[in-house]
Amino acid sequence: MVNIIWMLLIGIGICYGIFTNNLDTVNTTIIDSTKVSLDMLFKIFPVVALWMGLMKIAEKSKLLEKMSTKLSPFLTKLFPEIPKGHESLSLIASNIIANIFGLGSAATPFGLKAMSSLQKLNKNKNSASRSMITFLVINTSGLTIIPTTIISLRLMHGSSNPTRIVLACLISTISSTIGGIIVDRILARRYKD
Amino acid sequence: MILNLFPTFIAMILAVNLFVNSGFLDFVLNILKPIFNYIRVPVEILPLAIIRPISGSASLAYLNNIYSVHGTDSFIGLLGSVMQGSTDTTLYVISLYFGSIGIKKIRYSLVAGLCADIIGIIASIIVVNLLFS
Repeated sequence: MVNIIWMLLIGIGICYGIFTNNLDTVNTTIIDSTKVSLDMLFKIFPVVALWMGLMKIAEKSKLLEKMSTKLSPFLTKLFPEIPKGHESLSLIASNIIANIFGLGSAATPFGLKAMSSLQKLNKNKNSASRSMITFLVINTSGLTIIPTTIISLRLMHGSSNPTRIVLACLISTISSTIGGIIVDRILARRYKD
Repeated sequence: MILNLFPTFIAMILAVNLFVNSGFLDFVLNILKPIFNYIRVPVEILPLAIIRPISGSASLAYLNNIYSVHGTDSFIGLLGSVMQGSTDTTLYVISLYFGSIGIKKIRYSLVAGLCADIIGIIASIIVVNLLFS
């Protein structure tokens, strides 16, 4: 799916360039792209590395673990189908906490483990259970409180105030998560099997 | 990590830049411009809103492009930042998570995920309008 989109972008770009007699731009773009991506990576990397280091400390000092246990009362409400004390709840909590702190790469393994543990509870192994979909919606609605990548990118482009967007991001993230959960609830009721 | 990422990164930046620089995007956006002007949203944000649920790195590459053209603290720069920050890549997460445990029927998850994205996009437009204009 994603690969097709890439091919379409490149294909349409080149074809339209040829069509409008703009082949020069196409050529320079191809050559310039390497330089642009190298610039972007080099400038973004230090900030991301710093943040990941900080979060590793939070993980090693068990701060993340502590926060996950705080989360469990909310989770039992969100996932009424999961029996209390089931391992998937703590995995979901770890995934959410890691996501909140912008640790996408740390969140994914927890998320995958949570999914396979939800699969054990699932009656029909081919079809997604209600809890799985709720978990997925929470994940896809975005949970990051501090969008480090965007801040680094803004910094790289010489923004005078790269963190200016944090509050706005927070508000819209919270609304999309709450909105997502509401939609999930409505659809869950409609699709009851 | 950086070495693993680099080839993909080049490919993405190449694709996005080709698409934007060839003029095709301007062509499409010009058609849609009146509608977006009417609701006072810059039309250049539309591709970001469309790519965001599909691929996080692609939308980041497009955001990079917005920053270079319009600046980070222009209205569209701020809107793009918030939009990128407020939702996640629904399609990627669905295919990764459900693929890993062999789920074939995803039921209403795509609809619910995309609804959350749309809510996030609308929320970011409203929030940026309220906070920054």
